[in-house]
Amino acid sequence: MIGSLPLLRGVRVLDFTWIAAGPSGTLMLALAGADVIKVESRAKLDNYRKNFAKEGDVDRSVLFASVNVGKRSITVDAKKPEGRDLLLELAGRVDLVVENFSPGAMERLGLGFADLSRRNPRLVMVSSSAAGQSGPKREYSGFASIFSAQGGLAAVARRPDGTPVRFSRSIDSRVGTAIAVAAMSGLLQARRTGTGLHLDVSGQEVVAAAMGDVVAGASPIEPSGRCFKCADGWIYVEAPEDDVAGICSTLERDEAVSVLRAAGSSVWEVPETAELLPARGEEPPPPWGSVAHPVMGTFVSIGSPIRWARSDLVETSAPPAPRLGEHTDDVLVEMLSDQVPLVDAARSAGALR
Amino acid sequence: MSEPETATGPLAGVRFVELAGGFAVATTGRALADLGAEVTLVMRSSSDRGKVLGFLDGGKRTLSVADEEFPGVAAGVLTGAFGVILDRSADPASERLALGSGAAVVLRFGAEPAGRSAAAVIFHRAGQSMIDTPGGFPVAPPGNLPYYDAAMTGVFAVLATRWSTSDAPVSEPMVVDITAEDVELAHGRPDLTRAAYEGGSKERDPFLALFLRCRDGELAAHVNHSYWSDWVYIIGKPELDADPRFASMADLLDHQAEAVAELEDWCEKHTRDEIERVCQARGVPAGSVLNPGEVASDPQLVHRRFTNESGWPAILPFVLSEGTRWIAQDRSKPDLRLASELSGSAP
Repeated sequence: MIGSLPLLRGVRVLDFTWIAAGPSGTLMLALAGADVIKVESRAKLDNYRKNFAKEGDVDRSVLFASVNVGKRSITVDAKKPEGRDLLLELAGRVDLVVENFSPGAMERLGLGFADLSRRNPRLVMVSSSAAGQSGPKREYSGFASIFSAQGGLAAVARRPDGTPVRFSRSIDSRVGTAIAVAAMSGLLQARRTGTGLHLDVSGQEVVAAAMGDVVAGASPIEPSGRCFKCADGWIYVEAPEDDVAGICSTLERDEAVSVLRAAGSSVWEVPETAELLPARGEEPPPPWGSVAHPVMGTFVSIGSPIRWARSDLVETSAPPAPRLGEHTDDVLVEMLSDQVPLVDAARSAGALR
Repeated sequence: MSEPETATGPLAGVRFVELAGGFAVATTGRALADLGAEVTLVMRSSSDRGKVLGFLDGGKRTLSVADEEFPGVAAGVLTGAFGVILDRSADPASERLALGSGAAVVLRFGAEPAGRSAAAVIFHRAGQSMIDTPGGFPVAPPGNLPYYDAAMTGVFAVLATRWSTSDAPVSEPMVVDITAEDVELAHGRPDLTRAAYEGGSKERDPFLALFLRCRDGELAAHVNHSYWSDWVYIIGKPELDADPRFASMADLLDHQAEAVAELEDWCEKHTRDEIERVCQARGVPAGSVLNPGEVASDPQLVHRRFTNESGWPAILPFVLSEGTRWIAQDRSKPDLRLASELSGSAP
């Protein structure tokens, strides 16, 4: 199973994130026990639901299902005044809001930090964007391949023909970790001071920080080894001699590894993606775990890479990614039972879709 | 833009001990110091920290201790600490001290390959070098990226433990184990889950992530069918919007080389900055491919004070909304007085 721990039990998150980077961050919070309420809308579907839906079913997207384990979903159209008013009320009752729209989008919806903190002075908000909320490039739009270029990674991760390697969702996942760290930093600060705050995560900075020692010139940009193709896959050799390519081309990986190690080389096999997948029908080893999804069936995904241990800690099975709007009624009853007119107005206006 | 006093940071007043380790341990300690924690680094005087670890040691109180005094000094420093950070099994005796010290959290990084290529090996073994280009040439970045990733995950774990733990002494610590290889594997979650679910077949992504040659370098561009319509107007060839080769995203993917040729024919006449500005003004995602040496002087990062006066980048990739960045004050001088008190010997 993909497990969830109760470390953040009681922390309530209103999650406006979408696609990859933001949801990867709120996933870390969910797997640590936070109640992550994902705000969605049929008027503007998450790209992972829209573009990767099997047979047009928005609840049948494996990419969405992989990064939204453990969360709840409500559908509220923030562009309708009634929807916005309902979200403002919800924001007044949560600890944390997370979003990864282009800078200014939340403000234009009337849901910027100034709007939300007026309602909830202890609120922590984390905004994530390509280049951050301030600076000459604050309005830049971007995706992971852009961050990796602007942070110095694409320039130094090149194939032998000189073309940069594309890094996409793996970079989004790293932005997600930064979002989770910013969120926890904010929550602890707000608890300490009694005052909320707004934190601003930059995708460009995530990559540049990860490349920090190279950016600073403290580590070389030339790799100490390279990969070679064998008959059945790749190996990585540190400080290769000139004849390595010739040796590899005629041997399978394990043979090439044996030959080169016998000659004193430091060498490792490079697995293909398929080799990293758990064997079907067997219990997957951590950090892999099984997910039982009501629409997609049971499949394997990757949970938290953190191994926690304390005798009183009980890990429970994290619920699968939610169906679109699955928890709208539950959340409204749970959190806004004293706001019946507000909820009714949103429903009448068609804002709960 | 000003730097806030770290005494007001989220970990103000919280003590951590870092038992000298590798890049992940040092980065974690530095990040916690940036968040206001009082981090004491205990290291053996015989060890050479080098330039990279030397930077990461900024902001910490550093105790440089002779080998024979190390256990006694470590035990003294651990008393009253909220958390301990170490490399697993590097020093079993110190690890046992940490686990029995009363600290609320013991963060252990461990079981990594050794050698100059360790970071690259981890990146390859976790599938990161081919996750986005299956069947392509595997490439690992230089530097210590997997260890940075492990450190950030460790920082999250410490902060989450801090949230759930009071300041009262504990009888049993939260033991957190992190390996860089597991962290790198998790960064491949969406693609690996998809590969497992779809039985290894991979539908093409509905976008192109391109690197286009410009007059003075390269530009990264994210092109879906909507952005393609913008691009053809930018390059002065609106007729390409109706070209059957590019009629749909699937067609664009099938004719990627031809699409790139059209774009590069124009890009090669313009600089990266020009193209970036023109594209972004139109809301089209594009950005210059910056060499690591250019990153620090990027106007966006300069504005956000991403690097300090010495050119060292920030560890934490976020700022507070008023533009301030949590950064540790320099406490890097060895505290000889404290060391002598703990070991019982004269300084």
